[in-house]
Amino acid sequence: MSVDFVVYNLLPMSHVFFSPWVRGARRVLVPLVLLALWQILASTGRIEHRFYGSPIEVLISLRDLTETGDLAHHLAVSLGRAGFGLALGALAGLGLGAAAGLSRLGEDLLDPTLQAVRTLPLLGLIPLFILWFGLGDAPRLLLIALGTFFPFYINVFRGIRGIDAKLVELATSYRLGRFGLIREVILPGALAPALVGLRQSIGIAWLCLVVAEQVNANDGLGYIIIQANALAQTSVILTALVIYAVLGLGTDALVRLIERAALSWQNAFEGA
Amino acid sequence: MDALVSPTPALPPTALSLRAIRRGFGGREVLRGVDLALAPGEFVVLLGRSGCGKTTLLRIAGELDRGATGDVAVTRDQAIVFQDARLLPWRRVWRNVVIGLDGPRRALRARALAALAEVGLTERADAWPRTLSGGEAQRVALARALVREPALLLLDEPFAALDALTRLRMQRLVGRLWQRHGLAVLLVTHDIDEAVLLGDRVLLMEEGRIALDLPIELPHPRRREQAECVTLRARLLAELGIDQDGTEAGW
Repeated sequence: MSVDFVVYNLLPMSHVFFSPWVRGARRVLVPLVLLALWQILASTGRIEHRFYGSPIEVLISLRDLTETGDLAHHLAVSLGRAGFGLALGALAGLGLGAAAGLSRLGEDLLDPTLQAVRTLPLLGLIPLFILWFGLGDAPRLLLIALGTFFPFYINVFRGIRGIDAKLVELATSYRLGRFGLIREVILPGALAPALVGLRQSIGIAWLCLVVAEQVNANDGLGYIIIQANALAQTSVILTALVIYAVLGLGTDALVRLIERAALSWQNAFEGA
Repeated sequence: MDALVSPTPALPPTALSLRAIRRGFGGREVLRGVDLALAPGEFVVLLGRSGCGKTTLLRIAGELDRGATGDVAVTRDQAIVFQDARLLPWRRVWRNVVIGLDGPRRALRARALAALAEVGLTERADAWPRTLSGGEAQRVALARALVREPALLLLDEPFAALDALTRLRMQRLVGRLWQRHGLAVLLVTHDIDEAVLLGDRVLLMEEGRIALDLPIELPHPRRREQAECVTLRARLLAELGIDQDGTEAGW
């Protein structure tokens, strides 16, 4: 007769030996290798650097753009547009999501129409928006607002409806009142999904921004790309894209930070 | 409802008075005319099998079920403890205790700490509810009810989900708190021991009616191995149709 038994370590290796520094190094390893590969291929002439650029060229054009002050200007314009559009979309999404989530009447009045609008191809609306709202910033802002509206609307609506009915009953039983119910139960309960909506919205805001700034704009990061394209400055296009990526990552990290602070009551599984 | 009843002279004040309560769910009648009155300070146990309508009755008393017919007179000064603790996961323990109460933060915290001290959980005041064990969560729920100093405490099988040892301690705790605060308690349970241990009166519910109203005039606190308790348990078991050795008429 054989006896099967298992010997296992109560503390997994990853927790014992890997400090945050090691984890950080692991996370940047693949991007660094890819960058190095790119530079080597460009330096050795394996790829045409006029079309593909190279990390060093990107750094040089980043320095040039910074020195002329162009980058700061265009970056500020783009951030302003993204922020304003996002604020509009978030406000509308929170408001209508709450209206539809809190009452059946609101759901019946709002949801079918909004779900129908949601199926429209967002970026296909640009020509119409320019036709309707002119050549200024209005169509761009409204496009960003519309794009960021839906993640908020859907997640807030779903968040409110996902709240445990037993907690709502508790609030009734302990006489919290309508305002108390919203403050103590609905808002905190819907916060996690709303923050998911925020993260999705920010991604969409950057996406809409790039596209909207490539049509009829004379400033912003998208304009830099269009201009560089006309002048065949690959490295400038790449630089603008890198900046977009950094902005996207940065804002995402910011929201994750907010999530950690605001949702500290959740002891969610964070991966082994 | 069915006939005019002349008001009884010198009606004793009640914490809860239910008359001719009927409640149906989808054609099935769960409560078929229940009368129930609780005097101030009285501990009444509503005992019955699952599905006999006892929780429905408690929910009507707690104003959580408006679909019943009959007369309900219940003090606004009441608090419920549910079978599940129902703590808000996003509020710390002490915040959960004083939920719905107004006042300056420091005063509220002091009240919460006092209530938590009564259930022996002062040191968990700043914990998140998710970190509590089932018994601790239920004690917080008890503190949340007591902090309001209610005249009527409604307990909906509050110990049913706890392990046997924790349940024993919780039963003693509820008995102590009831004696100290002098409030009326309506406890819904299917646990005969619990009923005998805690009740001034045990109401046996069967098929939507109160089949037996059994006063228990033993001093508190009681011990389950007391001779009187053993006799009462046997009697209630018999009423429920179960012999003491556990065999049952029917299935």
